[in-house]
Amino acid sequence: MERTAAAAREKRSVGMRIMESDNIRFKSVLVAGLLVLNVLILLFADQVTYTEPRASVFIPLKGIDLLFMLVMGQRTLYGQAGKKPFTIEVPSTVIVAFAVLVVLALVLLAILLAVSFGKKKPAYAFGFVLFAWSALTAAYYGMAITPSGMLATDRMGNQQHFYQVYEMGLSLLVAALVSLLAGGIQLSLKEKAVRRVKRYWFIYCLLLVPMVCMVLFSYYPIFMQTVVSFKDYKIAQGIWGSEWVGFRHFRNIFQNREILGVIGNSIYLSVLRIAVTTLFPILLALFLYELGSKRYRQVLQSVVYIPHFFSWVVIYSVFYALLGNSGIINQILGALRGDGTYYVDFLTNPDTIIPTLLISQVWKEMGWGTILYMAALSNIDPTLYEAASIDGAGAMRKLVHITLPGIMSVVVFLFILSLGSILNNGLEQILLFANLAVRDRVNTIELWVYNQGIGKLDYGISSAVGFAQSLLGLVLVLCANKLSIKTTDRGLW
Amino acid sequence: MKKTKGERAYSLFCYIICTAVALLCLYPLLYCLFVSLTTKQEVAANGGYVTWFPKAPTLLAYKKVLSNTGFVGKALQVTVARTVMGSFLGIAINSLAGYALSRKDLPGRKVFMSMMLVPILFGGGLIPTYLVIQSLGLIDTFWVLVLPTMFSAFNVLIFKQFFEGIPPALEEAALVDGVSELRLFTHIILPMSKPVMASIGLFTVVGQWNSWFDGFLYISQTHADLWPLQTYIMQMFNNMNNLNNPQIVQMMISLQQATNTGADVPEVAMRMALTLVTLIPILIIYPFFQKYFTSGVYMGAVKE
Repeated sequence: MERTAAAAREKRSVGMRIMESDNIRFKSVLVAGLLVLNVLILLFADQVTYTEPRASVFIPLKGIDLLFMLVMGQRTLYGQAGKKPFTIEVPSTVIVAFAVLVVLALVLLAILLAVSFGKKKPAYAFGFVLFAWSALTAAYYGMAITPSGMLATDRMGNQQHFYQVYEMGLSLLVAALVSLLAGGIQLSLKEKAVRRVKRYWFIYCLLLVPMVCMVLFSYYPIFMQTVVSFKDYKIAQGIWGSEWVGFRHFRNIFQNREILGVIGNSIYLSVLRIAVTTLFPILLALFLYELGSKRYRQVLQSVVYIPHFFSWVVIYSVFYALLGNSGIINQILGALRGDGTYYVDFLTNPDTIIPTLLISQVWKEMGWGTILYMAALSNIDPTLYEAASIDGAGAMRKLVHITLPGIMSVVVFLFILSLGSILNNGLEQILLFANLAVRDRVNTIELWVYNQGIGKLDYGISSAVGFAQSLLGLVLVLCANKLSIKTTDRGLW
Repeated sequence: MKKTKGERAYSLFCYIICTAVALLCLYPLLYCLFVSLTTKQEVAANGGYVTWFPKAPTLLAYKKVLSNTGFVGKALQVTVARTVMGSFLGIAINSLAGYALSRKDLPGRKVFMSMMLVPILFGGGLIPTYLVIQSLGLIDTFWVLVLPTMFSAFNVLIFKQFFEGIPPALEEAALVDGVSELRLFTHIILPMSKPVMASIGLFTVVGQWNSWFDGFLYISQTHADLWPLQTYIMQMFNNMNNLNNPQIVQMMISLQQATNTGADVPEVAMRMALTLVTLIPILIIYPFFQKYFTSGVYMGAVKE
């Protein structure tokens, strides 16, 4: 009896061991697969491109081309600008550095396969080796796109910085990220978790498309913003070939009077905006809450929410009809004056543009802004009001002592959060309302960036301003969140 | 409970104010409708003002706007196409991602979650995004209206939160019974998530329908036939700044030709007719999805 139990135990532990070695192998295959992917990227994606945007000369070189050059011992690149053929020499540093990266990746792959399909299991330290490869690649990439002593000769025979002659493809960065991922898996994926990874393969597939979208449309712009902010962008040289200028744009932000004026404008406008968009919804919510008939309140609520769902284009049209020369506001003002002749185009009048912006903002968002307050109000215990009535409290005292304290934490929370957005006024509304006649009054950061970047193609400074705005905005939101947690126990997450 | 005199007065005051606010929300729309129904003669007879009420309402402006099929028809097609595709793809990928992240024992979940937070807190800015779109070759194509708007980290988080509310025992039971992950999602999870699908779906539809800035920024005037309706209207209002652009001038001329035939409608009437045409779908679906945003699914997630 005892012997059979021991045998069963023995059997089970053998089974466990087989499963465990299975898991180890699976993990190795996963990491090896990423490494293979890495080598494929290195070999078959465009690595460097000889570029001259002005002459529209673009000669991409794949990794395999570079290796081929190394093997054949020739370093010449044939191209054609217009009808003129030319040859240039590819710098040997690039070819050698690239070959080193490929060879290292292959060696790592070999080691991994040898170790994991031999008896031993690969050490976690292998993950750090992969990190090191990733760092090496990133360092090489960084050297290639910055003025770091890597030189190259263009077809005229001028020696220049490498980045001014060649454009680096993003594939090296992608390879570095893949290696980082492989290292991360090697390091942090425990053998026990491998089973779950296997079970969830389908779930990982679900994340694939969103992740690609996110990297392309969120992370890539952030990377681009960082690069362009430190460059003096010239169309003729392209983004990557333009010169690096360090912090010049950022220094400019604080020295350029125009930009400082724009920042001042922005803050002025957003203080007014925050004031009205905080105050009016609170008042409306308090009034709505006081309505005795629940049905009537619901009807009114659905009416006041409607403008939130209109685009700014529609809102602008509506205000165009109301405020234009032939609009009803002019008609009313004319009637008040008595002679019926009042023709002011409020939309092109610099003195009325800010009130117009604020009123349109309030019109669009006032009803929608009441939602969170209404939710807070509906959470107030109704017996409090009954008790207060018995004690002889009037409407005013109930408002001050029950209703307002009931929503205070939501009010403070939303107010603090809106302070976090003090640098952002949003572009859509301003872009529509800011015609040439009133532009100077409402030139906010966003509008300035738009005009400078899209209008004047001055990508460098406009990206830098955007970068500073995003960064300050992030700091402000984080601070606001912290403050809010401290004062109201409510945070964004 | 009897109300005191002061309370009754306050209550009356609230009724008046709230009704007034509701009227202020509705009247401008009504006014736009009236404007779209007036004729030039009427405006002239009224001292240059558009009247409160059109005495002889006419649908001429609508006829003209809608018969100007060259641009309006094209723009309407583009808007419908982008709304359908953008909403469908957006909901599909965001809900699936939210579902994936709601699985608590998914290895690497924390990494994915923190990756999702970055786009919410930090943006790439207008110009760099433009450069990226440009380098991806999306400028002046229809896809620029769909692909960049599909993914929304915010919606993923809302979906995730909803799916986390579904008892995990349900999923485990199904998986033990040998149901595949795909069937689990389509046959068990999906039917349970109607409220979140409906509310995010409707917000996405409205957002896609309303969006004009991407068309304005990424589609140049040489490809004006790819503009969505809202962008088209925006450009019409902006025409003062666009007088030296042949495409816009052509648009204006074709609109004016339409205006000049038969009885006259003022330009502002044409514009209001165009605006109201874009509003109709929103006003039609509004009653349906009102139920969902008041049910708190969406706002509950926003609060978190």
